[in-house]
Amino acid sequence: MKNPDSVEENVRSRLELISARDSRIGAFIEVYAEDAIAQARDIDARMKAGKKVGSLAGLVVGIKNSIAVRGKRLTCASKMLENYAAPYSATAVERIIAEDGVIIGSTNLDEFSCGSDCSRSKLAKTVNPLDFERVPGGSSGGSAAAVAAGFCDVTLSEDTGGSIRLPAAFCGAVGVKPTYGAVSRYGICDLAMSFDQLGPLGRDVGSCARLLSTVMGEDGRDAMTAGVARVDYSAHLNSFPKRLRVGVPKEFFSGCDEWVSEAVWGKIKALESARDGVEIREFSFPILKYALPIYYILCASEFSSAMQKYDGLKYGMPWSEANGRDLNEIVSTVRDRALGAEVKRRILIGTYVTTKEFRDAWYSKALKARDALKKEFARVFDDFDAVMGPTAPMVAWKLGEKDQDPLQMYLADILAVPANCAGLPAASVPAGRTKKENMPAGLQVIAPWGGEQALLQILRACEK
Amino acid sequence: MQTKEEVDSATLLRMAEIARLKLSERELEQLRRDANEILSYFRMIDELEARGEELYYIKPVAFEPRKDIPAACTEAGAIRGQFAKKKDGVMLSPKSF
Repeated sequence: MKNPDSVEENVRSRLELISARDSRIGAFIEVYAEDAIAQARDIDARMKAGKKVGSLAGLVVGIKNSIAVRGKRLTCASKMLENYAAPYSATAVERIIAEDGVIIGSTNLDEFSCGSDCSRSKLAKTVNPLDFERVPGGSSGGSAAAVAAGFCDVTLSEDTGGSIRLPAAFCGAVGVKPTYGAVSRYGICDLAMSFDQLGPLGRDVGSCARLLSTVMGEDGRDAMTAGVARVDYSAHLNSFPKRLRVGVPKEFFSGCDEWVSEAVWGKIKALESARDGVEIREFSFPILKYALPIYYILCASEFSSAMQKYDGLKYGMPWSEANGRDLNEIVSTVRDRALGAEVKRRILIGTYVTTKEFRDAWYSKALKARDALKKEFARVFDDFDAVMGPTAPMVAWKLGEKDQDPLQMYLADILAVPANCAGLPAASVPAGRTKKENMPAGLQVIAPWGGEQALLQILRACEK
Repeated sequence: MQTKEEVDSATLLRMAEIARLKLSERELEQLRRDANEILSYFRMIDELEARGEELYYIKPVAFEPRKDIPAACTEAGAIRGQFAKKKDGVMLSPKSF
């Protein structure tokens, strides 16, 4: 793409690209063409007049459609919220606008972020721009597809159990899930409140660092952000730790596609060769295999609770579209008609594992196991500065391949969820294409709590 | 040998009622199969020794009861002053409803 002379020209060229290609790719739920052009003109005018512009000036940003943008539809890719307009913007969105990031539209996702390949969206069908026969990954599949297709530079997405990193890996992009609590969750539709975290998914590490520096930090409307300072990660992006002890868990490679393993090991070895002070060591981390059940039990529990509010009274499909003898029947009808199968499955499992008679066998046990996992990670980070492995055990699969098998879909998240369970910052950076299927594989890097600066520096070094 | 189901149709129907989900018979059967496959896999957390440690956020909180020491009310006049109306020696309060 030719280097544009103005922000408006850049935005217009992206809109032309979207107009030409998005009917096939399906990255966006809504494109904010007029708003984006108006915002770009305003930035250009200020630049021309020598006035101050924000740190994101010129950066074209997509927003996952589970994050509120005032006055725009906030659908979560569900029939339940198909026509719901957000009455306010998420804190992270307000910060992007304040720093002159140009918001170009809202991107597609699995319904209420429940999925790993974006096929669960009820409002759009997204394909992988690198191979139209394959999925883009999920749940932020629209974000990854938008970035890979060149529709925007970066997106603000949300990662509960790999939803930023998995699609980034499948589409050859960079995705960063910050430390839990680093970015305000005010204004997002929650999937599981103790896991949800906003972060950037972008074309390169630089754009992700710029966006993360803008959106992170304390927000009085989200108590989890208390005490989090804002840091300009871009300023030190090209530095590198003098000594970097990298741990590679053997468990990350068991059950992993051999071509993905080869690509990821190639990237790790390349980093070791390129940088002084990098020490790579394999180790065993057996508790990792429990992360998937821990994650799904707790996530479903929190999700079933969060979804109770969608009853058609304040949120959701109106009651006028449902019949019933009493309140319960009307609400059940609304939820039956408006929610998809995967959403219902998670609500039911979450209700089951938290019901009084089954809680001890599932929910309480998973809470304790999560605590044990966090402690094990703390011990690992006594010995290592970063943990590396594949982002996903496979490359993007063919469309429809896992539609009928929810457990196989869940297993795609197996390497991504440990970082969510422990609240740790983690990211995916391209590790090249696999020899067999010629599709991108992702290298995942997990850092200690609050270690975003080093994490981004490592990603930058890997990117080079 | 057939393994025991984690969750049967009747339990699932009860869960659906609690969660306010209406399920058709076909949906119920599909969800029963899926839920059993998923929960059977999740059973692996039974293998994990949780070390018997209580988590801080479910630890019962022990409250120390405050000692009950009777004392004279020194602000009786201020309290009476809140009630401007009196009738038959009784203070009248505004209606709440």
